[in-house]
Amino acid sequence: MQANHSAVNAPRRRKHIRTFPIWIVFLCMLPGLLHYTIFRLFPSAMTAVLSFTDISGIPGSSWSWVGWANYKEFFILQNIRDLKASLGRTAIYAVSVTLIQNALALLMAVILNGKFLKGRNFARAVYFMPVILGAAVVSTIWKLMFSTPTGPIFLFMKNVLGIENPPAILSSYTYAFPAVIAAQIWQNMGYSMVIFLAALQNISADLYEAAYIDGANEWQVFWRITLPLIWSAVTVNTLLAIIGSLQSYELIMTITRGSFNTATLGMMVFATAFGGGGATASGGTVAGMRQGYAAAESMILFLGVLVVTVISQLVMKKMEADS
Amino acid sequence: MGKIKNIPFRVFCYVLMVVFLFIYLFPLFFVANTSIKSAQDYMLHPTALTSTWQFGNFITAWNKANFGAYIGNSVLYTAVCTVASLLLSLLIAFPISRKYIPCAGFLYLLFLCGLFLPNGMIPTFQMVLNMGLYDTKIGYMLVMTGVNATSVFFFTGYFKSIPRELDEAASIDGCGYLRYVLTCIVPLAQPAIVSMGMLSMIGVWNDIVSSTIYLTSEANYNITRGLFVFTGQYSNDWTLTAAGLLIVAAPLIVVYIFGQRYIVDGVMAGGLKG
Repeated sequence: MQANHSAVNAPRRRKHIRTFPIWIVFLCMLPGLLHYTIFRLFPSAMTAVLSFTDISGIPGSSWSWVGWANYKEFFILQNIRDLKASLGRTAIYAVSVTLIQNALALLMAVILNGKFLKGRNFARAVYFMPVILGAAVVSTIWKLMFSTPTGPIFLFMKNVLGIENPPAILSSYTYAFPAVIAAQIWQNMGYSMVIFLAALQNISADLYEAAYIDGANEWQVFWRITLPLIWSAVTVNTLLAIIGSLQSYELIMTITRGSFNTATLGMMVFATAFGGGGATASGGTVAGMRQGYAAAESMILFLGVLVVTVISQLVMKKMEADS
Repeated sequence: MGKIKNIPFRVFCYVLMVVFLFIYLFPLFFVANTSIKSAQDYMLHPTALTSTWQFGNFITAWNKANFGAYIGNSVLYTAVCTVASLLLSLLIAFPISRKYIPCAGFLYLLFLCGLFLPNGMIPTFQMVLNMGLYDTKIGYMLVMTGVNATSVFFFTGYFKSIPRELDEAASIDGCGYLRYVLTCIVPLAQPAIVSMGMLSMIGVWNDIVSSTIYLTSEANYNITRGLFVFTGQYSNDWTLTAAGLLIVAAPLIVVYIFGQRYIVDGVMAGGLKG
């Protein structure tokens, strides 16, 4: 519509009539600009500043500059074990969520894009629903599913798989973390799927028609036609999943509160700053309200996300150029 | 339909779709089934279909988790934050899309940056604390309101489809700017506003992180906190937990059933920005 409109006007190069006085326009923008500056830009910048202090979350307590002490503590001092564990865990979380979530989402999107499939709109609506439900509800659903000894998963392991003493998944140092990852994927698969579906619907049916007439099978069609044509959606979904999973801790916080070896760096930032029962890798609880230290952790997380995002963007571009 | 039929492939598609439907529907079904069981029935036969119809669970859960008090807060937070965020975003996005102000491109980038910057949770907390707004409804709503990058992006794109001549006609006829935006642009951009409004509503209703940080007195709790108190204190009472869960989820499910198209549109727009 816009394109037509400017094409019609283009030859005349008509100058736009002056409309509303600029000061009124600006005045109306002002509340939004102020709110954004005060509650978004300023706190972002201040995170870096606070990371060099020992400020606490307790009102009225004094604070002082501590230089690089917070960073030194994170990288060098007694936390080295926690550091390795939490960084490793954050990496495992991000990589497994990104890969599995996108692989499943792509698979389901390709399947639901098949016009012959009855009930595909219903299925799409169902797969997307957990995105709407949010962390509080989703975490409670999975606490119920994993509960011991009456949860369906416990009973499945015991009665169907015949495991004699099935572990209590959510209070197990081995299984709690994979369970949280599974819940995260269950919640967000529909989100990635919808973005893939949008991209798939832009592919012309003629292309598939031609390929099938030439005797290609579904597998070849997927690799030669579908995937290259939706590569931008693959890139977007990968980036969103990486950024999202590196930073997100809502499900971890609501399911295990970071205990049982489930605390990623994002969870540690929250637990260090606000308490809330988050635990470090070694099992001890993090001293809550150490907000200067939490700000330093937050900066480390931010820089990590930045580096990973830039690298993955470059890799995706390279893969696109190669294919 | 001139496609050559590949029967095994179609069977494969159906099987996979049904398996995933099971993975997604079973937990919801299990919650619903548990919510109407008696506690004893659940302990004896947790996975069996319910033999009783204990709708009293919902009343017990409602009272135990104090939802009656929290639901009012949640409605207030959701309404105020959604309307405020939409209004602020509209008034930012419209002049940017029309380039009515200098450096519109720069402002646009500034808002997109919001997607990548560190979230600033700690300085925001310090600020709210020092302003004396900690554990107040106003403080919480100030934090939860926001000009979000996705809305600015979505609205800016949408406004471009509204002809500029309309602005010119309105201003020649002497229509004020604010009145023009609210009475002419808002109805024309209704689908975009509904999409972003629903995403914002869902976000505020579901919030658990900011609520945990900023609200400490029960008088200010939102509904998800009720669920939290519940699973902590009565963690073995799964029938009540399930009932409480459905109380929190019910409004979301209703919104989803009626607004699915708008919500999905909003998410697709969010995904395409990258």
